[in-house]
Parts: sequence; structure tokens; C-alpha cells
Amino acid sequence: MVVVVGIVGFFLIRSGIISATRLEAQIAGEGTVTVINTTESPVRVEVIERSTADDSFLETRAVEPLGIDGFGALGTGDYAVGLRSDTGIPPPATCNLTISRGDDYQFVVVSQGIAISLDGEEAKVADDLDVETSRWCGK
Amino acid sequence: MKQALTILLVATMALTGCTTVDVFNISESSARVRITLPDTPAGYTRYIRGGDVTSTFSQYGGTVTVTVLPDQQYRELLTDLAKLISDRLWVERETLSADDVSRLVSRLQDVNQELERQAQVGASCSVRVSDFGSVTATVSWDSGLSNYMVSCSARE
Repeated sequence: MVVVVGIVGFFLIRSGIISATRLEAQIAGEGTVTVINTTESPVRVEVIERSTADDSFLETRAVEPLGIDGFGALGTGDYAVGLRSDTGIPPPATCNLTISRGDDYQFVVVSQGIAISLDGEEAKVADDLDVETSRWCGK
Repeated sequence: MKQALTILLVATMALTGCTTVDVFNISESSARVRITLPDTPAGYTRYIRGGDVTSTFSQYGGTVTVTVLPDQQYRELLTDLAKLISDRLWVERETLSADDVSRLVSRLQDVNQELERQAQVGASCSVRVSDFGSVTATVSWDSGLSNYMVSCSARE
């Protein structure tokens, strides 16, 4: 079985259908975090991986006003996503979330607060969509 | 067995790459672009002033697409979304039914499809790039066609 998977993987890479790193990421499982900034000021987004023994800082990105940005190819595991507007509006927030294979989390920053959704997942109550109260943020 | 695992681990680490993408706007006016990357098919947007450049990266290689978006429509999409979320989630929150919440979720998740629709009318280019490669895209203004043009090239 391992040999067959190895041979198939080798030919996929050699033929250019998939890159080696992408194949590795897809075998291990990955997800994405997207941030939509609808405000007129930059929003700084910090991602910290919490699955490791010592929380390891991954990266900070500034999402420009009316911009969409984010983090791709995040390995499965637990993360803290911190969002902070340069103006303090909305107030800063942190979401402790778990990324499983194929998860695509979306944050939408508006002046009153920060909304969250998980692609393909239903929400039944409004609290699920507010970072301050969302079950996806461990609350 | 241990040796084989060690070799596999080292090989895997050696293969972990990063693909950089630079988008130059050589026109005199600002342009709103959408950049879709191998590791984030939903894509990012950037507002690039004339003569300026923006950079991003993907954890691995694949197809990179750069599209000029209609700025007015894009702004309306985001401001309409902001108003809807503000109204529903922070003003009318206590009165929302399960159906209202469900519709709001659908609207949040439809943003990407709407961007896809907007991207269909703009100038666009796509290029394949390897794990350690880089992509350069150039946005220019064609005064004859009164439209933006985009060209992409990849370096391995």
C-alpha cells in the first residue's frame, strides 16, 4: 500500500500535477484563515500555533482598509488568532480555534465587532457568529 | 526502519518551499487586484497605487492568478456586507430567528462567489510556478482600449 501511494505520488510530482510541498500538506491536512476588513483602517492579524509545547508565533499580517488577506496552508491543530485595528475600533479580539482538514475560517471586521464563520458549517444562533461569543472560538 | 524515517523526514523538510508573488502596478492610477494562490484559492485583494508594488506568498507552488477587480463594485460589496453584519449581529441580534442567522451565514460565505463574478470582467493572467519559484505580475493601463492589462511570468 505504502509503495503504491509512493509511486502515485512520485508520478504526480514528476508530471507537474501537484507540487511536492502541496502533496505533503494535503497528506498532513491543512486549513485557511481569511480576514475581510470592511473598515477604513488597517487590521493587524496575528496567528499563534497552540498545539506545540511552547506556543509558537507564526506570523503577523496587516490587512489593508477594505482588503481581504489571510493565512493559507495552516496545519491541523489549535491556534490563537488575534485581530487588532490600528484605531481600536472595533476593540481587539482573540479567537482560539481548532483547524481540521479542509477548514476555511472567515473573519469579517466591521466597526461594531468581528464576525466569524466556518465554511460549510451552519450557525443557529447569532452568538455563533460573534468572535466574542462564538463556539468556534471556544466560548 | 528508523533510518528510513529519518531520511523521509529530512527529505520532507527539504521539500518545504515558499512561492513569492510580486504585483507591480506600472500605470498612473491605483488598481484593485485579486491574487489567488495555490494555498489559498479564495484569494486576497490588494489596492496598489500607481507605480507601487505589493508582495505576498504561498506555502507551495501551483497556479497563481492575478485579476484587476472593478473597484466601485468591490467597495459596494464590502460596504453592503459591513452594513448587513452590523445591523443583524449588533443591532437586531436579540430578535434574529434561526432562519435569519442561516441567511446571514450564507451571505458571509457567498462573498467569495461574488468576487469570482467580479473577477470575470477584469483583466487577468495565470501562471504555474514551482515550490521555490517566484511570480511577477505587471498591471498596466491600455489607453487605446481604456482598460487595464495584466501579464504574469514565473521564474523557477
